Amino acid sequence: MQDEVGSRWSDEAELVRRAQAGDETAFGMLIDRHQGIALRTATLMAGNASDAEDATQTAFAKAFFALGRFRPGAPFRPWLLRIVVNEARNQRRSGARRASLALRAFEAGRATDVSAPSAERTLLERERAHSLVDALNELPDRERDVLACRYLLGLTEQETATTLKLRLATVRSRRTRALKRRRTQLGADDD
Amino acid sequence: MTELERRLEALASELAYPQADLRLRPRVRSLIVEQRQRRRRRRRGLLLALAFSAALLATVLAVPQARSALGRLLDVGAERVQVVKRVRPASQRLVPPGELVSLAAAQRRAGFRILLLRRASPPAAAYLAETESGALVTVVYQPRRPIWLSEFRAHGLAPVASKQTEQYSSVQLLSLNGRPAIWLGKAHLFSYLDSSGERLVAHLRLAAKTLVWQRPPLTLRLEGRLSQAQALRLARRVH
Repeated sequence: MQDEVGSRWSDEAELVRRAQAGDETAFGMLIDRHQGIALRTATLMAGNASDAEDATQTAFAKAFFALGRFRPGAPFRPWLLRIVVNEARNQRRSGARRASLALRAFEAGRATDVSAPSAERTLLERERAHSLVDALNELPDRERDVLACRYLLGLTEQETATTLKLRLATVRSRRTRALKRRRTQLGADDD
Repeated sequence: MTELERRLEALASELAYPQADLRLRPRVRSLIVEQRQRRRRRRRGLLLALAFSAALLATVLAVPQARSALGRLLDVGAERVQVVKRVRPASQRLVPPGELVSLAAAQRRAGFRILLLRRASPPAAAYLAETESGALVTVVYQPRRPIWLSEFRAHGLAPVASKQTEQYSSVQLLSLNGRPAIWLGKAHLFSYLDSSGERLVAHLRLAAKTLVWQRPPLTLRLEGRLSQAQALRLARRVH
């Protein structure tokens, strides 16, 4: 496993090195590798799919021209996501919108094809997910962004700090504050 | 991990995201091509503006009465020279901006090939600072009577580093290898934009006599207790 991670890492470092030397095919492979998380990040920060797609494309193009500034050996993903976040925030500002999360369309089959108690449970879970999304949407942007990176994107604290251009201590304090706030709002069943 | 944190993680799979677009690669590629063309046009504009600025500065310096009436800026590559009424007080810094690194480390992190003085003893030290445009590398020669060779890459129109001087007579427009160069014959204020590009950082210092010139894509500065002729001779040995 360690070898696999190590190999993937060195493989990525090699792709970045080639892209820095102007190899567009290598950069294309980096796009393929990171487009999923880049698009999810942009969606969480911009708040809607159309802005997120524009922001992701522009961010990749900007990343290409900024590769000269990328420090060899540093992790590529948070560096890229930082550009994506900036671009998505620009889109959000230019549209004078506030980002809000949304659940994906309800798949009715998931509730009706199964037995009644399970269907009930699915609906209940759905209801709880809605409450959580509403609660997240009410958070100040800076706290919500930290929770989004940590839990919805699954980034580490260090990656979150780099992505949001924050100090590690700030990431921790915002996360703690936001969780405390949500816990109070969502009731005692959270812990 | 608390229940709330677990629920947040589980929520990730329930959120509405656009489908990862398999055509993203060609769309990014066309954006890159478009931006390249725009940058090329901007660079051409920059060269024209530079030629115009050089002519303007020469005129301003030649006619004393016109000096106060005309603009007081001249950009060479990523460096801007500004003639002001009064230079803000600053401490005389004895070390270049940035962190002390080995020449090999500076080369790894610079993002461009560092140019060195030919036919000179090996550099005594190297410093690397992050600027809006990337790395600013300063190679130090002759520790007893230091000569600093600073190099950074010019991107776009915005100057990355700036110099302020009070005396017009101390600014001279020169030509080096067929490109415009500037000689600053008096101590002046030196500053640069940090890596976020948002503000001038506090690395302000009074610089010694300095020659600034371009070797695309780099802007170079040679600084030390040098006469103009010495500086030009050394600059021709930079490769």
